[in-house]
Amino acid sequence: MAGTDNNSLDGLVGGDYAAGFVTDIEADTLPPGLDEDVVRFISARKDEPEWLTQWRLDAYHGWLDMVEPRWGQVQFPAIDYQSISYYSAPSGDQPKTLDEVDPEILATYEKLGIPLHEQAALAGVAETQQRPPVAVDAVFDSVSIGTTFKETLREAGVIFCSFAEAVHDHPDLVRKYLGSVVPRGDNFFAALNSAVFSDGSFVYVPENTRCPMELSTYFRINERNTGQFERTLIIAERGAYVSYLEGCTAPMRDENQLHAAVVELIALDDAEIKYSTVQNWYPGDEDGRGGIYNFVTKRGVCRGDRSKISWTQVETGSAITWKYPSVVLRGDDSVGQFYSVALTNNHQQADTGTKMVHLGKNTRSTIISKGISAGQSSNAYRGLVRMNPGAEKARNYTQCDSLLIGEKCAAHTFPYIESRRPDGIVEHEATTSRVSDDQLFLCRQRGIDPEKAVSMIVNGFCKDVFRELPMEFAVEAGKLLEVSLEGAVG
Amino acid sequence: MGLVDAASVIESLEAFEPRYLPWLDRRDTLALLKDGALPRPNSEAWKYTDPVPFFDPQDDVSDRRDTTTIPATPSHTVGFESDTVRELVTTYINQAVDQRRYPLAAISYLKIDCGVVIHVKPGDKTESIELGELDGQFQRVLVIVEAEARLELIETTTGSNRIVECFVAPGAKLRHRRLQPPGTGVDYNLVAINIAENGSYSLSQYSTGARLRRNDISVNILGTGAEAELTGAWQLNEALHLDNQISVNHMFAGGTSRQHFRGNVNDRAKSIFNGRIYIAPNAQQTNATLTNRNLVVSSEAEVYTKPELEIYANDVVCSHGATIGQLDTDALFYFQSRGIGEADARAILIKGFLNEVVSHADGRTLLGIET
Repeated sequence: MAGTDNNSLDGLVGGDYAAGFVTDIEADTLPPGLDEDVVRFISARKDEPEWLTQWRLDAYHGWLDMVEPRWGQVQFPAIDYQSISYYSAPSGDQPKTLDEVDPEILATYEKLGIPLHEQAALAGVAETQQRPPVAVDAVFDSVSIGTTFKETLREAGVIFCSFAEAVHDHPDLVRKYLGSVVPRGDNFFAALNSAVFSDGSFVYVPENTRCPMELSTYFRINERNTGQFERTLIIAERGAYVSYLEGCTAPMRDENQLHAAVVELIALDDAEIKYSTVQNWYPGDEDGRGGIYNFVTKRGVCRGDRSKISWTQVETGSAITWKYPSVVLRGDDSVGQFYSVALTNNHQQADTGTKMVHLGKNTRSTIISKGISAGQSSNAYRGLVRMNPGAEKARNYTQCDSLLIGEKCAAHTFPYIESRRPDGIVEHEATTSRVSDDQLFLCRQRGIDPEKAVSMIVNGFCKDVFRELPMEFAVEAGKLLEVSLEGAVG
Repeated sequence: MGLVDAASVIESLEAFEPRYLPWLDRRDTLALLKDGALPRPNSEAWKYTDPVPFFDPQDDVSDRRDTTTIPATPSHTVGFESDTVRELVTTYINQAVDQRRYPLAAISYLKIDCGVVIHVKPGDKTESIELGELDGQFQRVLVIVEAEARLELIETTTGSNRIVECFVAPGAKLRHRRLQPPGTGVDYNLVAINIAENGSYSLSQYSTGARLRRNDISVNILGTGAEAELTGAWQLNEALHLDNQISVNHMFAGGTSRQHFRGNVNDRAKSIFNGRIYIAPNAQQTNATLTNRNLVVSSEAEVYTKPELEIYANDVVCSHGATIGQLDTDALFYFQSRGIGEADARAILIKGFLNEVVSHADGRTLLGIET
């Protein structure tokens, strides 16, 4: 790299993890281990109906016969599933309103910049500007501690609550849709999640309703040696629209912690779901100690005609990321989108991408994936585009680019393209290169210092994806990228 | 996909008594196969092609060795049994083949029943050599092009198990043309190439399918300035099957590789393409590209393509692209508006599509796109 030295390069990738603190509160935590009793305990604790307990147990028995997938371009020591605690919740009775929530926990979210008071302005945005409010469901270890703006949403007919609440208040909806997109035996981690999922968010947007505000869930792992297994279910009825944001952080610890979530999206005729994630789990330290194993199954079904599901993700955290937000395009003229920025640094490993399965006529999908690898990290895009025989005139465009920063990092691309349609069109393009000397030179010639220049170039590289994020998240994502890359680029 | 019965494959290999070239050391290869090199269930390399028929040990033809014939070409070409090349054979055989990655090549080595060495001495500018069918089931061709030498190799092959190993020495050039007429059986091919510094290798492969045909190509870039250019075209009709698996391995800094493959898939044919570019740590200043474009002209045809990048060095420029599509309707309309019927227009467009990567008359004839 012309005129840059490696020291400053290494520096820029070494930003601090600001969300790495621990909240000291009393918690009821199950001892480590997993058996039928643990599954029953979680179910009983949540006062679940019999069918759901059985559903969990079936998933658990299925899981026992499954093997951990190892095909990803990631390496990790065997996980001892008996050493993980499967349930942890702040002590005491479940708070009824936000006012009853332990102030320590509220302070935690405050510190993370997540507004749990309905009048609060959003973090990361200039104070003077008026921002539209965002409804937040805050999940702390295994339970949801509160959901804001419930009243406003109820007026619009939108249901936004914790999963446990949904099981009690809307059992028919839960029963109808739970596991309809990601069956409980879908894969190893989905089966585990189905057995022990503790909480998560539930969203139901009724017919012809535009959800009046952005919905958001903030996941926080706090307790040591626990796994987080949340489940999110979003249903957009005919003609509905909802935009949903997800954020996550965890304390800095030397051990690895497991996060195995399942997200299911269902879009009926003319409905649209926009799902955005800023994933900032603790990535481990510079030597690769600690960090979250983020093994997540996310899938949406465009069940209705002209429906649309869009995934946008900015992945900067986790020691290992293994996730493939997918769309099954079943309805005619339905649309699937996937926009992703995945940044890995130090010893982080990511194997992420998407699946677009075209079943209906005139279905269209777009995949834009930007991978940035720095330090000694490994970053892989793995994707599938499948045109089934019924997918008349289906169309896909895929672009995945990788940027390499540092001599020891790795970048991989594994796109699977399968077509059984004579009138389908699939296009895939990928490039891999490092920050170009010419671009750097141009910036420096104009008096921009190298660090700033690289930051600009990286931001430009990710622009196609950031553009898809809701405003609040775009600001956060840009900052996150800057912090994560600090010192890496010269 | 079927399951390869590893135990019975190993059993039959252990019982096998080599009569051809008994002096070859086969122990390591057998050990490696026993050590789990055979395809496992859900093997990535056999995702779209059923491996079972390829590993079926039933049709052994080890008695054929006496009938092995060497094509009547000038000098340079010598059978494996000749004492004069024994040293070359023992020096070079399996040096370009990763037997763990290509278990069928390992089996072929154990059961080898026919072999040819093409040896071009340093500085020799041999015009060209044609290599047709060899009379054997498990064929091995060693092509050694010594420093600063040049060779054009024109190969025709159908229905067999043929392993071609090429060694391109510093500054040498090998132009390799392969013609694969339609076959009726199960057909395995591996072309494995080692390219030393400033060596240059180019492949022009023109294929049709077989009941099952698998083409593995493995290129090792082993020196600065080494260059590989791979092009290929295929025309698949009826229920023919073609599975191309290519891996270009940049093991050394300063290499270049370009790949461009195009296929036209018709009727109930099945086309599989996997193009991998691997860049080892330290293989800096590498430039590698890959393009695979597919035309699908029938509703029952199947096309699977997977261009892969696996990169462990940062100062590189790599790209790949893959498309699956059909003829441009505007272009068809343009032809028809000028009085050229739809069938003719289609034929012309398909020709044009494939011709991008076809630069030899015999290739055009094979693919049925003569002008």
